[in-house]
Amino acid sequence: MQNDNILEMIKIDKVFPGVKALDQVDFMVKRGEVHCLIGANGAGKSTLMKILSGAYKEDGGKIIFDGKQLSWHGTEARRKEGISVIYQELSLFSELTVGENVYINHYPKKGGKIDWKKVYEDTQKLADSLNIRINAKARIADLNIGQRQLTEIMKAIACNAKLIVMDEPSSTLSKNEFQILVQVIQDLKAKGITIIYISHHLEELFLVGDRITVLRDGRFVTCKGTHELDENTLVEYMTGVTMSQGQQEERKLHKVSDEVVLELKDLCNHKVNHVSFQLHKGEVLGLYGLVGSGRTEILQSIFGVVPPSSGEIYLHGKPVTFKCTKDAIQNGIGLAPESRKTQGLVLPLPVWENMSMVALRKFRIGGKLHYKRIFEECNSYKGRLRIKTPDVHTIAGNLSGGNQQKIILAKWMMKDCDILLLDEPTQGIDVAAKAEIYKLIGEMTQMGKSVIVVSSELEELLRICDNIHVMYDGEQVIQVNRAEFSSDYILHASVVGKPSAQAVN
Amino acid sequence: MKAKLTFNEIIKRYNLIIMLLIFIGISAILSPNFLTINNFLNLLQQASIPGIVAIAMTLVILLGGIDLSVGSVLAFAGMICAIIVDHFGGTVTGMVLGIVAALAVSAVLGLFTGVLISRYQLPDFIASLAMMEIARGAALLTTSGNPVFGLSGPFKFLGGGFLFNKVAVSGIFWIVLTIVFALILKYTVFGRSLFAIGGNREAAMLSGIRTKINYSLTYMLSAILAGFAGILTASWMSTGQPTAGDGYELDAIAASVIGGASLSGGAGSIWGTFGGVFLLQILTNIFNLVGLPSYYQRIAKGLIIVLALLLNRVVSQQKAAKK
Repeated sequence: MQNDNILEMIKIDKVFPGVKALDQVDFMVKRGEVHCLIGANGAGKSTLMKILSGAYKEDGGKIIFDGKQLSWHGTEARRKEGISVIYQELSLFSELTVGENVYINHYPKKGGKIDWKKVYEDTQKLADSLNIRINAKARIADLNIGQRQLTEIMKAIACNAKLIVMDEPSSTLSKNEFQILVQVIQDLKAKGITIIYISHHLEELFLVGDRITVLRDGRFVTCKGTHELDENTLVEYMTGVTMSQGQQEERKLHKVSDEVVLELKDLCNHKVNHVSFQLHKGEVLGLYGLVGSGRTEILQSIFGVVPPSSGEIYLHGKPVTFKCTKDAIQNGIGLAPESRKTQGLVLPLPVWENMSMVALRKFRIGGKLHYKRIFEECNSYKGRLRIKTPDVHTIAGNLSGGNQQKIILAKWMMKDCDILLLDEPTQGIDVAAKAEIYKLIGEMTQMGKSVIVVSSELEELLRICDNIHVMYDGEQVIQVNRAEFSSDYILHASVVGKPSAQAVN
Repeated sequence: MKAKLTFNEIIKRYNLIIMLLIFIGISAILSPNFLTINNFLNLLQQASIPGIVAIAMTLVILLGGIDLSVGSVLAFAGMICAIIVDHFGGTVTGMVLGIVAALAVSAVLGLFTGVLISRYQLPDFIASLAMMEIARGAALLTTSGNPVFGLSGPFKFLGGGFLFNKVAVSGIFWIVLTIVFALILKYTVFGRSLFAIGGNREAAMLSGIRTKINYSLTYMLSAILAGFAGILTASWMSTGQPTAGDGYELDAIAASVIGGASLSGGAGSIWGTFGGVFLLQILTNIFNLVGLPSYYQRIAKGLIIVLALLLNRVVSQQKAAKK
């Protein structure tokens, strides 16, 4: 039994401020198998893999790899042990050739010089042995995504990887490319290399996997052979029956008006297909779906960042096209983007400047900015939103995530916009600040504003939304009204891409 | 609301002034002629033209860009102005026409560079390098490389005149432009937009700031200022000189950086740049007064740039380490 497992991660704990990301998780992988790891957003699979790769250090538990207990020395040490992780964003040098990328960490040398002949010969041999059709001298920039991924796999093998982790390898692949990947995985298996395969797409797991481990809310749920499972039981394991009553009680029922403020009709862009919905005055509309399902892209098209390729947007019943963000803002729309630090704030500038960035024009008197009024208003928002900062002259980059998010909300409140688009508004924020942000959203809808919230936390959407739309792979799957909220139903749709057979209740 | 400044913060905020005072002190000891009103008025005149070019550079650097073409645009604008003034024989009409034409051409060149960068996404270094070559070539082409000598009439007063026989008119232009642009940066939406774009372009765009238009506009402003400096140069020398302004871009970058500007954008100030120009000019001045060859000057200039940046960095790192 002991030597049967190449990897044993035993009772792994990991705590982030405010969250227990992993709680006594066990993860056992047999030598030479393809082991799938699944779970909904936030289930802990990325955290677990980051601990395996050495990017994070576990807070408790132990890792035994190839019969040896591993201590923590960072990612490079783990790679030397034979653990390679291929992330969704590949880490290749696009101006170099396939051969150079494969051997970048350990070029074969002859007399102190790099033996280029050997580099390309070996790369080609490696490719042939895996039946990969690729030219060792091709530049990465000239390859398609599938070929790049195969290059990553070759690179891992050239480093003598015994275990390869593939994180969402199929998400960017076409059908054909995926077929090739499946074939390569079989070839790797034949060579005795172990693979951990992470994917949101359940049907793939049954194609490539031998066994499946399911995580939920940072806990180990089950580990079974693929032949013992089917899609439905898998979804049950993933979703559990965790959320039930008691979640929705606290929200005061407020009446959403019938007035439609924003309507999308058959909206398409590079990522989403035929999205249609109506947003009413005073409504909180949630967009749920797995990461990459096109939620953010819907907001981007509404806000004039990514022009729709077809379809219409109606604002208060009139068709609109926004060429730039300024057009959207002038029509009363605001966006708190997904990444606070890189998109939401200008970190080196002070709090007041970030807060007043959108509404700056209203502080002009005869073309001249009136600083006293800017500071007064910023201070009043600082008090109202309880932003913890010494004063409004503090550099925004020095504040915590929750306070930074409040600055972004203040920015749009100052502009007094009617429709607020919030992309992952509480990501990485502690529980207390989260509750405050929910309260603010509630207050805004009371004042007749409308809000669209994109979130990966279903619990959050169930708590604050009037309606939830579920996205899957760019398609709108279901729409659920608050009266019919059911976490199982929504989770199932988001994972499988179609509504579950049984009725909602 | 006013927090007490720590020693480090004082150094960080006022390091330029401290350095200026130290330099003035050393210079005063080295040469008795240094601390005289005449010498300072002299300094004002000498610093004025590089000073105006440095204002242009600071605006662009605030955005996170760089404009290598300022020296060449200065020369080209100077040539256009000189040729027209010469053609009209030094009349007021000639002067007005010359100035308008020179500024208009500069504006077009700057807009061109700005559009290349903002709309066609050329790197600012490359786009302005190209404009540097184009404008220099054009300046030489106007007269096949020959200077236009003997400019006369009211035009000479612009860059070569002295109020009360003492205060250089070009120096007054420099001070006025410094004040005007310091106010623009502080009190206009355009000015604040430069800080936002330079600090985080994407966040600025998502806050509804028209980054492309601001970019084009700023490069245009930069070229207009450089063109104006070119007009003053032609007036000061009474000559249209197609090789004028060579290497000014680097001095302007140095002055901006000494004055606290960050080449990654979002940080810098017009008054800091004013001080930076003054500092570099004092350096030249004292070497001249003492009579050392100019080779030493360049070494000293290099060292000062390093010193100014290190001082800034060390202080801010100490601050960060405390956190």
